[in-house]
Amino acid sequence: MIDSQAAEKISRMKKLRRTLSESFSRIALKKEDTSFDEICVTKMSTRNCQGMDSVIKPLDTIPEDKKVRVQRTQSSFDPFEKPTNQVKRVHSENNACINFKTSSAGKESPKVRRHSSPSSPTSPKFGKADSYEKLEKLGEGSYATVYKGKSKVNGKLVALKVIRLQEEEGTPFTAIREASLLKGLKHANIVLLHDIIHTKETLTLVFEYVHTDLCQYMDKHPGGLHPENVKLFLFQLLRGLSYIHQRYILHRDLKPQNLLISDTGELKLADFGLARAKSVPSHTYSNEVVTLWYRPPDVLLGSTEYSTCLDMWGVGCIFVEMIQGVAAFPGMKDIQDQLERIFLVLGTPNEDTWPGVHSLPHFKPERFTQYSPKNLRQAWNKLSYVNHAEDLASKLLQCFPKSRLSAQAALSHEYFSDLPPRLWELTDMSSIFTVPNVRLQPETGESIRVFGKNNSYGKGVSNSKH
Amino acid sequence: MVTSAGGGASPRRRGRGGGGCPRPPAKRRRAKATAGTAAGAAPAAALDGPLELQAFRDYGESWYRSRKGLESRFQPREPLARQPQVTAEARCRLVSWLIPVHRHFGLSFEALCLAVNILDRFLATTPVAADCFQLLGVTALLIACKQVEVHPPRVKELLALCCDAFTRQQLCNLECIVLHKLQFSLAAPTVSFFLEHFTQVRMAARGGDAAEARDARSLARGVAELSLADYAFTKYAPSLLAAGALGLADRLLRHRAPLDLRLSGYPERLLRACMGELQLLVSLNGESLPHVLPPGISERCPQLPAAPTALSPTAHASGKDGIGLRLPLS
Repeated sequence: MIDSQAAEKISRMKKLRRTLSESFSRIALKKEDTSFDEICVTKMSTRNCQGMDSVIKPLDTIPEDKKVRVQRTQSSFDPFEKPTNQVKRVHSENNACINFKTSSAGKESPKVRRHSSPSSPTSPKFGKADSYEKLEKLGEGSYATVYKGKSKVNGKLVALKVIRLQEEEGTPFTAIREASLLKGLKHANIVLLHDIIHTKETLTLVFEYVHTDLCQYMDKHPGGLHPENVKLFLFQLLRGLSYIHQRYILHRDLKPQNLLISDTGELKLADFGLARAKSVPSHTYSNEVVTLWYRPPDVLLGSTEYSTCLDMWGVGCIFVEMIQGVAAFPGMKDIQDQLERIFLVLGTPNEDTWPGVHSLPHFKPERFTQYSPKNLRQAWNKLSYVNHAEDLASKLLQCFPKSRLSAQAALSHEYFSDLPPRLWELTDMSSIFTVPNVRLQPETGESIRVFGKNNSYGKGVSNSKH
Repeated sequence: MVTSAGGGASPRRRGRGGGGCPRPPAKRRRAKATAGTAAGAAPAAALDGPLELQAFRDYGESWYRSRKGLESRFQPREPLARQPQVTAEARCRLVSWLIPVHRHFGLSFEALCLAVNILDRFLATTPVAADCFQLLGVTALLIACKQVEVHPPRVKELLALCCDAFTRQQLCNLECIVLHKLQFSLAAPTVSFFLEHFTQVRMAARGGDAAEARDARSLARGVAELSLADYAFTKYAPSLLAAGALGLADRLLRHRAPLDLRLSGYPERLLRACMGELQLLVSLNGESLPHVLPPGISERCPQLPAAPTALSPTAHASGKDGIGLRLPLS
């Protein structure tokens, strides 16, 4: 079958084979051939640094050659300077960037910035920063500062997440992940990324402005939120999560601070700095990602095999916190303390309740007090005030990760059965508040209303699937 | 032997440090050591874990649909067509170099695939001078790693691998340019994803042979790795390439229950063409392929030469005559 293939194909392939074998032989040889120690990868690099314009030397002749060349390279060779006409176009752009980067332009001084790259028409159009007016500071994170901002074009409010660029390692990975993942996500319950502005010292992500977050909202309304609002928030959280989980993305850092709440009650998942595509083998997951309070026991016990169920534990914690008004597992000290708090309610796991728990790196049965599992309402009494709330919480707060409900499954839980059926038919970009009779209830501080007395959905209730 | 081809063996550790290629810091070598002898070995256990299967049952189908839906958006279109200086040979050499480099750092196959995708898509947008080409290669690798690896290589290490021909500033600037040109669209679907997906489908199916599925995946990953370096394969969508590589792997390993390629959704004609080209690629790289496979796979593959012992003189020889290329410039 291959015999019939054209001879030219073979010759093309042969070229490929040569280079491929070259690189493989390089690896294969290193062990024996001492000269390979220093050239294992240099050979390729020598050629690429400057060898593109020269005949490639036989493998065994390159080493001597290389040393000289490399030295020359280091002293005088500037890959961005080459007087070939054809290359100029390429370089003008690169140089523009270099000049730009080394110039003293600050992001607040568009004048200087414009000054820095006037000559090159192809230069990246950095510096749209002046299309937004920076207002007050909203918060400070580990790698970014968030400001309120205003678009000079349409007057809309935005959130400007200003990320400092490190000299050492270039653009921070958190910024790259957040920008690249959010770019592909268009959903009513995911914060919308409007724009990315790259300047000399900073990278600014321009988000839609959402006026508060769940953490602040709960601080403002202590003692547990209105049960109907809890339901709407949880529904939106699950909707957003289901959307990203279906797209092969984990959030990995769920906590109330990362759930933005608009004045109409829209909830939006934000802060994707630690999120990542689920495509990478789990052995590369760091187990330091989730804030301790919302971190699942399997991760606390050192498991590195985690998946979408990682986020679902956090959902359970947030659900309880919204209803009860206090964090579900507010660990005070360390991982051990965090685990004790979890086991106190859910029972200390064993091989029967959690197959494989004994083989987790940090599971030492003697280190944990033996607790038996309790009803969740014993720990969080307000769960019992709302139909099916305790059941849903217990299906999310499963120590054994495999038993945890998925976001999609949770959306079909009975707890939500009194919501209007149209909520399940919305398109991705439609807010739940486009459905008639779905609206946020005023919070009344301490009030916990007994379920059933509330007719906030009016007709919606009678139409519902219940 | 395969040990010489990568993993735990000591080649890089013996580097003199002072020369062009300082050795990597200890931290990263740990990852490499656990990565086993070949690229394919490491993630297998984790990806086949019960959680993974569970998540796959819940979401596998929608992951596949969403990734497949993104393919055409991320497919580089004739990346070299408008390049004044960069040639297919140069690209081949660059990627052939990135392959051992990614292994050197213990990086995932996913990161390598993303790096090549970033490279190609950038080439499609911007003319690149030949002397910046290697810088572009490591920059693409750095960006890919920041996207998917927990411990991306340090800029300093990458610069050292280029014999310090470039400065930190140049790399960081190029990083900005690449990110800007690609507008931060980096989450490309990769052949690595589709290899995993088809393998999971196969393992989840009733009567599926898990051992065969794993072996086919290992061999297919090696084949796909080769194909990354060949410009001719940039025309194939990653899902097609993955299906073709698995089909070929099943054939080479004479599996009793090969993957049903119809599940890829491609017409047989396309699959055949892709498999034919891959088979040709494999037959041309017969000596080097075993180096990237986990132990035991190539022995089961009658059409591949047995894994070479210790030194692999054949590979060496073929390296020697791979010289007579002249790269056209200007």
